[in-house]
Amino acid sequence: MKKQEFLERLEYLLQGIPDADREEALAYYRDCIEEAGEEDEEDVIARLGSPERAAALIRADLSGNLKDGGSFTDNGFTDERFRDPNFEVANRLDLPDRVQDQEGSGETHGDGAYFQADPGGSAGPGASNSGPAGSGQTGGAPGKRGSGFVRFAKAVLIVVLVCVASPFVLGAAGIVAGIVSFVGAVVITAILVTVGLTVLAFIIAAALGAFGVVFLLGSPLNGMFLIGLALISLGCGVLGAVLTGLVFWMAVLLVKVVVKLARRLIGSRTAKRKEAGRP
Amino acid sequence: MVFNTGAALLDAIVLAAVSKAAEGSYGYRITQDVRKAIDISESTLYPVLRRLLQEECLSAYDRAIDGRNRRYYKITEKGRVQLNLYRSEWSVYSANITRIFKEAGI
Repeated sequence: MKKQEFLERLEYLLQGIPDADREEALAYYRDCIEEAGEEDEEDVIARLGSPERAAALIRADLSGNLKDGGSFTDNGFTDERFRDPNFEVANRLDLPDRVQDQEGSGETHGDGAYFQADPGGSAGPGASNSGPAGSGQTGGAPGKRGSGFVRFAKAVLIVVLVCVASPFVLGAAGIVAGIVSFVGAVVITAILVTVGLTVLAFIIAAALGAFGVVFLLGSPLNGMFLIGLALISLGCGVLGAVLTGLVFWMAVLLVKVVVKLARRLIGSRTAKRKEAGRP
Repeated sequence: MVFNTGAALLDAIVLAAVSKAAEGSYGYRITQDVRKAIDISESTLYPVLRRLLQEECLSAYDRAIDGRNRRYYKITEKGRVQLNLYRSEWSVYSANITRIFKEAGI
């Protein structure tokens, strides 16, 4: 990215902030790039990161979001609050297209906690420097106690929530169970009716066929009419049988899929338990 | 480096870099100086400089160089007091850490 391209993009991204602030920021960035000289222009622009990140930092600063929190790590500036999924700018505060692995993010989390404890110690002018090593230790303990308390409070909250929500949950469960059983009943009834109608159609076909053959001897027209009816009935019976078979096949398939899913879920869970149990 | 630099320490480093010369320093050179200690970019430094200006730890003035204005940052009296505080805190802090390492027999 060239100087002009970077600055134009930055100017575009800084629309809407006060003119004075925008001019100041742009002047700063222009200075930085120009001071580097033409041979180092690429380097300095690469170091500045994307214009998106620069704009995000400037905006966060203007809205007072950089006042406290955040720390400067190997990976650049990280601020835990910008991990908020609602804050898409978050990842851009760091240099772009840098994928943090699990280990790395864990580290920054830990460091974030460390950082929060830091300013009180170093920035506070009234901080006593009697035994800083000791104060460091006491600084660590409340943190642990705090996390334990937070966990306990969370558990209590969850219990309260469950108690409060139980009537609704039970009501909802009742409604769901009702719907499920109603649908089941309808499906079973439909299957039974289909099977019954199929059987009936076959019986009627057989009876009409027999009568038709008998009538054919006396009055051929009536006999043929009855045989035709018998054939229609036979067709209906075959259709019913095919439908029943199809439904059975689908039901068997469904059961198989459900069983497979359940087995996989249980399997992965037990595998996880085994893994957890090993170390 | 595995250690993080908190906002206070970064302020201290920037204030120290600015006060190297009596005339102050400008964005690019401040970054170069700060980068001798920690890896940081001009983008990250900008909000820090702005904040230090707002807190009146730094003052800014423009100087014409090569036909254009270069913005200089200069440490104020308040900034100097703050820098002294940081330096004394740092010497206590670093001495304690060093002592712990020595006691561990490293």
